[in-house]
Amino acid sequence: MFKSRIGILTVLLGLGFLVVLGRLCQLQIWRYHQYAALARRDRETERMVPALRGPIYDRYGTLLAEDQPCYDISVRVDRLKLAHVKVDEIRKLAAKYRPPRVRTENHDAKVQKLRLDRDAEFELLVARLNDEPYVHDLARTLKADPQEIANNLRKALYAVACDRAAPRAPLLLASEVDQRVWLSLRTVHEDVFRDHHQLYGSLASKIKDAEEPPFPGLVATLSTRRIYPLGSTASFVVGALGELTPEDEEDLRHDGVLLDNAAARNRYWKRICENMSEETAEKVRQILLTDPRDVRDLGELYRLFSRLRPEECTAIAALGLAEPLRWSERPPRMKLTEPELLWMGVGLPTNVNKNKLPNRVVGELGVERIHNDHLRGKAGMKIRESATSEGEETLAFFKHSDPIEGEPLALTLSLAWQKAAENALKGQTQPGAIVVLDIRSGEVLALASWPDFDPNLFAPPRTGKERQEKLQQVLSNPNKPLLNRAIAEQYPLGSVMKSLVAAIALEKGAVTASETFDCAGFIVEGGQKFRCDESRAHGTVNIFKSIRCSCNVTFHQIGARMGVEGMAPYARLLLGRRTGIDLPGEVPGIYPDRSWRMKAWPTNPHARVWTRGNDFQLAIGQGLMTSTVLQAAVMMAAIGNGGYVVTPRVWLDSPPAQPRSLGISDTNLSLVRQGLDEVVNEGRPGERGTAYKPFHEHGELSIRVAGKTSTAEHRQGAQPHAWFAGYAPAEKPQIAFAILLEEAGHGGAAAAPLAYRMLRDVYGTKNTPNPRPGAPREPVAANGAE
Amino acid sequence: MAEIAADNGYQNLLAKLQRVDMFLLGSIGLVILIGLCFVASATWSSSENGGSSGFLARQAIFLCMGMTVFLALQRINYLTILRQAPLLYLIGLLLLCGVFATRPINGARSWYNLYVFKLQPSELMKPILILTLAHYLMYRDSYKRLKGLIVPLILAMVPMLLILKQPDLGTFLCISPILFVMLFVAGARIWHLLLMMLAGSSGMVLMWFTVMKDYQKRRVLAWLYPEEYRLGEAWQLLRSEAAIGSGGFWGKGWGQSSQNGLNLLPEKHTDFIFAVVSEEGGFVVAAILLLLIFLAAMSGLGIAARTREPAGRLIAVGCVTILCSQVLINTGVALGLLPTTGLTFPFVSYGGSSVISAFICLGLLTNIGSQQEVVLAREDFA
Repeated sequence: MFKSRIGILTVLLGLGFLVVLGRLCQLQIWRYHQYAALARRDRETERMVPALRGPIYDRYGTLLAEDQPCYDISVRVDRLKLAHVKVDEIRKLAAKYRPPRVRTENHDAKVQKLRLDRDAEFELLVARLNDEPYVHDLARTLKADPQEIANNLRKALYAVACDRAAPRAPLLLASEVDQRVWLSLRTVHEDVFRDHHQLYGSLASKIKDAEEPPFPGLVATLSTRRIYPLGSTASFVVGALGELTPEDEEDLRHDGVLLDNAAARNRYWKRICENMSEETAEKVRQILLTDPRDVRDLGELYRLFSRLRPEECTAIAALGLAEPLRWSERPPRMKLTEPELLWMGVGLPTNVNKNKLPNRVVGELGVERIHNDHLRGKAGMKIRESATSEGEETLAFFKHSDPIEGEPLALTLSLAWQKAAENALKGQTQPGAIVVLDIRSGEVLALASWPDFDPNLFAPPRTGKERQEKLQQVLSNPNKPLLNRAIAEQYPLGSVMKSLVAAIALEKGAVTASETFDCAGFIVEGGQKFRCDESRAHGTVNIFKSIRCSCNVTFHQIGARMGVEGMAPYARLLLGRRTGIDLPGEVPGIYPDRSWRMKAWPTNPHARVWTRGNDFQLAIGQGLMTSTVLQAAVMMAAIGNGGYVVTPRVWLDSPPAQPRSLGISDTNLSLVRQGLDEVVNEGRPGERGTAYKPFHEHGELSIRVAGKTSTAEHRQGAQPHAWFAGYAPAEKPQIAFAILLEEAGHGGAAAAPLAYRMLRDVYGTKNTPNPRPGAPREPVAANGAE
Repeated sequence: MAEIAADNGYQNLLAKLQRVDMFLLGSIGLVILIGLCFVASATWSSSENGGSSGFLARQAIFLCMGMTVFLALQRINYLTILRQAPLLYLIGLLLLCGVFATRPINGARSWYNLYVFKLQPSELMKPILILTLAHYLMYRDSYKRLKGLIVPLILAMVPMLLILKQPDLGTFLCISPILFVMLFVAGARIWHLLLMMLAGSSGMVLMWFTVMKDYQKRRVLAWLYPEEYRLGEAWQLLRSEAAIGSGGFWGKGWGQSSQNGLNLLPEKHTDFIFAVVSEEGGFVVAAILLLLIFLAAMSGLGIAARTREPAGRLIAVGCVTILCSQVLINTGVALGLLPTTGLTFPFVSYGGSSVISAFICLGLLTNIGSQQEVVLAREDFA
């Protein structure tokens, strides 16, 4: 019986082993391919490769903004060699205070206590970090703040000590490290370095033979950095970058630019398949589902492709999908097109944290913001495979699609004009703005605002103590240096308005060139006294003199003859509406006609009533009307170019909008132009124009300028805003400009000298005329916009 | 007996080893070699305890200790040890009780920290229980009645419950077959045993509602519905399956495991060593390993069959049972056939107590095998 029972036992054991062996067969032989694919995915992590953002140039090809590759330096704690802190200690700390996997009673309290103990011990450990030579040497090499490096290192060590990061995971130490600095670090080749061999082949090959690196454990990854080589020059047009918010990211996903999750990929894939018939799409899906590395038999691939009809083949080729021949190129470290890569990635469980966009920037101001889509480019994808071979971790990259660089963008700005405008404003105690337009096309030649800012400060990552302090300074400055005073702030226009009112009045026949007015220095209306400047009596004035001397009394009367509604059809084309410039943040200003008043004061019956006094004020650009500096420049352009309202723009390649006619004949406008010419060039004693002095006291310009000064009251007790707007040359206008200085006093005394200085810088004086006004002095080198 | 007493020294030992089934020792030797290779590979990337060489060195020390115990056991007649079974049983129980006074590691109180290695009394209890049961059963036939099963049941249940309390469900599960198989081989009535199994399984159901901790229940649920517990309890299970499956027929090659290299599989050098073996060695090596164990078990059963001495038979069967049940449960867990329990693969997994316990069983087995001429019982119990 014993032996028979032993026999039974043998059979039972044999059965047990057979079951195990059967299961082994099932997993390793029948389901091998399934698990092999699964295991390969475990080793693969997707990385995004940053795309360089498009550069920005001025109209002559001078560089205003560009992306440069730079490096993020991370540290691998397991390879770190410190003098005072042993990495083993950190590791032991992690092991010692690891919370128990199994929950027992008072689990949370115990975990809490463990955490406290761990933190206390960790503090003791890193107290020794402060005089670590590694940190100091590294900070010196990177030209960074040692405190910051120590802090980041501390964070990295803490993450490892808390078991939140693996010792071999790279943790960020410093960002935006220069290429040359990186080379001196001789860091480990990690992820994007293959690209670097292409980018800096000769330089990168030097580090190949590097012996022991000076800072063991450092790992570098590629990132990009936005550089504005001219600093604050043209900063209000070029703009600045900000950090990508989660909402921005969602937008990118929707546009198919960021494909870091399955939903975004599926959406993008569907878009790719849109033009294919359902049947074809299904076949393509079948083919793409086959990872070429899984196909052992090449014939199988050919069979898949041979099922396609010729027209389907062309559809696929149009998508940039692979042909079987390409797929047969082994070893499998080949570059795939994006649709291929994408499709293979669909349904792949991606780790979102590892898959962040490398340069997380978005345009925040200026052209960077409004033409963000044009400039940003598209990040590439790369699959990083880590494998182990005898315990050594090896990395390989394959299956990647290249990043698509952002497109370059040329601005209408001319650096000569821009610099002239900025130099005129620079050093002013009062904030101000200058706009210069091409009089026919509306191209913005210069757009300056003062005080200004350095966009380099804003380019993310906004780290570093020094930078933070500077940023804080900019943001807390009471003069608001970020405010674009040329388009985003509105001011009472003052006497510049008179040039428009005169043109309208002449066109409507409300006044003729020969009519004269009597100016006693004031006029009474509705019990209120309206005065000329300093209550000066101008005597007998015609339309030219009233412009030249800026006679309020005359314009009060002219304005009253037409009324606000009479002027509206013309004025509304210029005022109270955005000019449509392609820059963010433009405000429309106010043209306060009756309907506007109804909306502004729906319940106040007094304010809703339009009085003759209001007409008086509107005619001289006071009262409730406001305008931007850009609008004043567009107004001057319209007067100078024969009555066409241009749409200003800063992107050189955007199609120019058809200018709308103001509806005022050129004959009438030429009368106004004569008045504006006299403002600057009439020098007879007693008849002098309001802007004669600044243009004739220091040496005359090589060209004749026409314009209108304005001294705009805006608040009781405050200095008025100083304006000067005009065009040049007076005989054959080419550019129009407007200048404003906030609370700077008289337009002729404060703003007109700025115009003189700006125009002198561009056109030169009579003795030293500039032959090519506005163009760069010497041709830009060939590496420019082409 | 006289002949044994006359022998002494190494001459004696060698002579005895020659009588031992070389089939058994050879296959176990190969298993040990395979084990060493894969412990080395599984601990390549480990950062704890001084890396791979540290693990390998310690495992070698454990093996040496095990072999010392093994050789020492060859010098003493197993009957001498058997006589001390009640005492050993008491010591074993004391050790099992004493373990509750220690600091818990990973939430379980299963180890004494001896600094050289962590002594796991439940491992030692395995051979002790075999000896105790053999000691009780050898000259009786009371187990043929239902009432007579009570004493062996109590003898087994006391340490088993203590082990369950630690908690160490794995060891608990692999010890229970010892009782059944030894009773079965000794000649207990089959329907009695079936009754006990029924009681046992209803006890398990009862346990589910009373004793079993949440995490243990979750493990069972994770085994039944792995997808729902993908990132939690079923992680190890799914990783292990993926590792084994991706190994294929020929394996990825030694040191090339991805699950292992990326540290995705926890406890890969102890409880999940079989996953590493199957991934790197493929079906070939895994099947060879299982075959070797089966061969060893067969020769162990051969020894039992050839032994006339009743206690020796029982001990031999017990040792084979513990070896096989451990291997089957361990591989079953790694292959996803059984819920996750922490159990080592004898002679292969890293760990001092496990290796020593396995060598004790092996030592008892060879000791019995080398004493074949001692005939004290009839051919058959019936």
